[in-house]
Amino acid sequence: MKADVVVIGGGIAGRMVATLLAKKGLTVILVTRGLGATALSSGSFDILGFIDGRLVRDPLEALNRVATNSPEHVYALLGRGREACRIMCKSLGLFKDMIARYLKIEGTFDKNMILPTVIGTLKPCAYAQETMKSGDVNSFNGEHLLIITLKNLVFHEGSELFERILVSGLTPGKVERISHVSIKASGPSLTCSPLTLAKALDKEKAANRFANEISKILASIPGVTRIAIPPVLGVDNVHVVYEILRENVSLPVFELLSSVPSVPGIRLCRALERMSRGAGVKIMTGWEAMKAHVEGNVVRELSVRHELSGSIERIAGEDFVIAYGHILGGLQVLDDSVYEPLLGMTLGSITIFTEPFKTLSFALKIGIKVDDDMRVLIGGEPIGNLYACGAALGGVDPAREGIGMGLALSTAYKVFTSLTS
Amino acid sequence: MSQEVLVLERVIIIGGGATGAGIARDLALRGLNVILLERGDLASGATGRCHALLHSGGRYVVKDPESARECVSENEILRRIAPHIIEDTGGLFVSLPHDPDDYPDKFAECAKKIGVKLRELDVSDAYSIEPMLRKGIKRAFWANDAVIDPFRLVILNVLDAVRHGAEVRTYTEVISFLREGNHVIGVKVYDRIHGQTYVIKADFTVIAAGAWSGILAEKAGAKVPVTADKGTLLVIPYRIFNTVINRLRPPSDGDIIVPHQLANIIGTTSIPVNDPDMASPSRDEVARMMNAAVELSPAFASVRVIRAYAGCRPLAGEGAHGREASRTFTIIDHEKEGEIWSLMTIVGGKLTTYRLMAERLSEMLISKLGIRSPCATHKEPLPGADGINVEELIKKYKVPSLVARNIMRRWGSLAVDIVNSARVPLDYAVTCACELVSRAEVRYAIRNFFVRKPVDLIRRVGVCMGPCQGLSCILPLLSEYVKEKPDIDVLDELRELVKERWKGSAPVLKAAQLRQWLLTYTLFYSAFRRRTK
Ligand SMILES: Cc1cc2nc3c(=O)[nH]c(=O)nc-3n(C[C@H](O)[C@H](O)[C@H](O)COP(=O)(O)OP(=O)(O)OC[C@H]3O[C@@H](n4cnc5c(N)ncnc54)[C@H](O)[C@@H]3O)c2cc1C
Ligand SMILES: Cc1cc2nc3c(=O)[nH]c(=O)nc-3n(C[C@H](O)[C@H](O)[C@H](O)COP(=O)(O)OP(=O)(O)OC[C@H]3O[C@@H](n4cnc5c(N)ncnc54)[C@H](O)[C@@H]3O)c2cc1C
Repeated sequence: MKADVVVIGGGIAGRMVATLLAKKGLTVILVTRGLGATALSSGSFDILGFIDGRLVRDPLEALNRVATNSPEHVYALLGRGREACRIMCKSLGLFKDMIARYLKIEGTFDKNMILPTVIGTLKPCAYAQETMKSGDVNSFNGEHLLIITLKNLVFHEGSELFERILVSGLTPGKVERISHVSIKASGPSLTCSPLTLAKALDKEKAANRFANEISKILASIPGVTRIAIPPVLGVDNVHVVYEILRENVSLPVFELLSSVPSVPGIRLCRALERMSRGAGVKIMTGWEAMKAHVEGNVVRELSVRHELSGSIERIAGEDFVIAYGHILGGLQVLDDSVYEPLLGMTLGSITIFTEPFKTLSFALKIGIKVDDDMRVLIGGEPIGNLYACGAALGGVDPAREGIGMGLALSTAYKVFTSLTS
Repeated sequence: MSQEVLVLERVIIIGGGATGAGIARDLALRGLNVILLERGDLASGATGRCHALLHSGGRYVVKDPESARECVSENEILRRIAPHIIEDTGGLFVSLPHDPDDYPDKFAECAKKIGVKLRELDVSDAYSIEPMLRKGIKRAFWANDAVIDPFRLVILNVLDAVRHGAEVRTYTEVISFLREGNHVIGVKVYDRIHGQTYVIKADFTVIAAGAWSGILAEKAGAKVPVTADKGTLLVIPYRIFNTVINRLRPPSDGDIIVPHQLANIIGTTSIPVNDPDMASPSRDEVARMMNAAVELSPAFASVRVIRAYAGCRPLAGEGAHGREASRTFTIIDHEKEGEIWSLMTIVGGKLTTYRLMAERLSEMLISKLGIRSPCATHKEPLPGADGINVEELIKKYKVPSLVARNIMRRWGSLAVDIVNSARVPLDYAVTCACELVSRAEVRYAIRNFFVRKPVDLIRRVGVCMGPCQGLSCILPLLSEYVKEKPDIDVLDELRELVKERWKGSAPVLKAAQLRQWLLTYTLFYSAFRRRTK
């Protein structure tokens, strides 16, 4: 097997790079084991949410600052100040257009939305799936919020809990009143997983019934101005489901940001799959990259193993891109250290602290080091044709810093520009 | 801080572990008026951090015959009064290639003298019972070991005590003793939830505070020789062994593996500590025990350890030395010591012998008070012990079979009450998928099992104890909780739950568990963030 470029990992970073390259006319093979962090994500696209624990209102301005003042930050890989911002805008813009046929995302670069999660906490993000946008509390003003819970959905029965946490985080005046209703969505009658419910709602008939039920309820609760729904509005058909809902319910309706297991995450992965396939990327799902065969300072071939059958193949390429994610993906944890399996190098060791989140934050910072062209470094020296992007770079703590998809997409785009320049 | 004086009580019992709960029940059944005080939750001390082995006595035959004898008789009694919380796993004592050659014979001989029932097995039979045992075992014996659920044991004792008029107050810490001359006439307590201090008076006070008994007695002006001996245990979220496995060698680190609920628990170490509050598992202990477990079965080399926890054995005697110290118990009547009147302390013993300890203390106490009333705890079964048929439960109440079986596994015939409290089929929805706990059970526990904080539910019904360590059940759990008890700070409780689970994970954090925590982290971090309005 042979391709111009071999991409390792089918999360958002890998799909982005592969799609861009294929659209340029290169032959691309994408090898992916299965799902990773992208499938677990909440539905938002975070560029930069917090700096030193303080909320960021304008992510682009903040990115400019970080990329200028902190040369150690991964964002500095995009370039200094304005250059970093240019790459970010370009990559998100391209991505938004390329994926629009399969999934709509909305937002702006210069103002973070503040979206409620299923727990009731609030999260800043630049972009989000279309179904979530009306949840932006920046636009709330004296709302009467109706929270819909689904009786047969495991996990989302806690509307009291949600309300308490939400209210404790909101500035007074944003929400005046909260009402709750619990309805049964189509799907199995006892508790089922969010994904099962979402798949059931993908069918237009079920979506119509659901929308009808909500509008009936609205008639009995006067004065509602906004409606929050658990994130289960379809998987492959979300756009249609959301349209039906909007037609029947003439009020802003929004999905909450998801916890795991995440329907919006799966939704995004399915859309990414279709996007990359549509661009002509050759996709090998269920294959794990095992070893990069290096000669001199270039990678000649990649050994891949089929996870179920165990059969091994070699793939030759001009260039290779690591986009296999962090420790939820391709980076391995051996005893107390983080290990890169393709080249066989230890990237750093984990310190365990008594405070849980300090430990994880520490582990997340460990990652693959790259040069200015995004080429992988071994002992300070780049490998000529091996690049890395996405969560594999480490360096950030998505939860604490509110950085995620924005980094994955922009670094993927940067790899693309290095490869094609 | 208010200084309110409450009604006069008869007997105060300090300590809500197995011993205190056992005493409360014993005295309540004899008609006394008792109040049980516990500074944390029920079973939050050694009782909830032990190995849960209902000893046959085998482990102690060589070094500690008195304890062994106590175990033999109590093992029999507990099987009678608490069959629903005992799993009759049986126990294997095995001798590995490098274990001492003369130990098995000595072991068998001592067992015979004491009356611990043993049966030597063909080594091949041992393998058919436990195929995962390592190769090359020299000898194997079968004993009457079983596994008892310490959480349910305590709650059922307390429940029965309360049914007989006792009162229980958790998160109520005894901070000092009230004295009139040489008489203890009550205690001053601190309510850790409401932050209030008040006084409770009594005719008699009993200290049953395990490893903390010495510290407490000192506050009363008395002296109790007790040594806190730390032991660490490891949880594997599945069963490699279905029987209790013991090594045939003088007791040492990591030589017992106990099947408990859905898990295997590896234990334990023995390290004297000064302050029982500071006892926590170290990564070094974890490594030592894993090595010992791998000696018993190579399968342990690749398991996922989900949690480590440490408890403190309250060994009777000053400077009592870990494994050398006797596991039997001591009751101190402080009047006899010429110190303090109306105060007794009990230390030492084991979970297995909690009932006997309670009986002995109660006998002494009522004879001092001049009351005559026979002990009933060896005859009266604990709540839920009367057998019911699970099929009947499923049919009659239309309970999903998996839910019914799991409620019964924990509560025996109390399952009927729990099932009766369910109103709609959705009440059988599963709150904790790892340990299979239904919403109905959670709600019933909140209402009936002396729960004062959401974390108590971990001990009460087993939520958050499985492989996900709370990731998927913390939220459903909390939401059930606020429905029942609206006046809590949900974010505080959420943080406490997450931190509590982390405590046991940190010492064993390896690849799989690190990934697991990454999800918990990402999900819950926002709840830990300082408010950014
Ligand atoms: C629980 C969670 C929630 C998050 N929520 C958000 C959010 O709401 N918004 C946001 O912006 N960011 C969020 N993030 C961060 C964001 O999801 C990640 O930064 C981003 O998805 C990383 O994308 P990636 O493509 O680099 O890696 P991944 O999505 O992890 O993709 C890696 C892929 O590589 C595959 N793979 C791994 N090893 C191999 C191998 N050896 N061979 C072949 N394939 C392999 C995996 O199967 C996987 O498909 C979240 C992260 C987590 C963990
Ligand atoms: C690692 C380990 C493994 C063990 N394995 C087994 C086994 O397999 N089988 C077996 O039979 N035994 C076993 N044991 C022994 C057994 O756990 C203990 O002997 C038994 O649980 C002691 O119960 P207790 O009620 O006396 O003490 P505890 O359970 O410690 O109870 C004392 C209580 O007093 C409370 N308290 C302390 N100070 C105050 C105060 N000021 N005010 C109010 N309350 C206070 C504490 O919070 C605590 O809950 C083991 C012990 C350990 C440590």
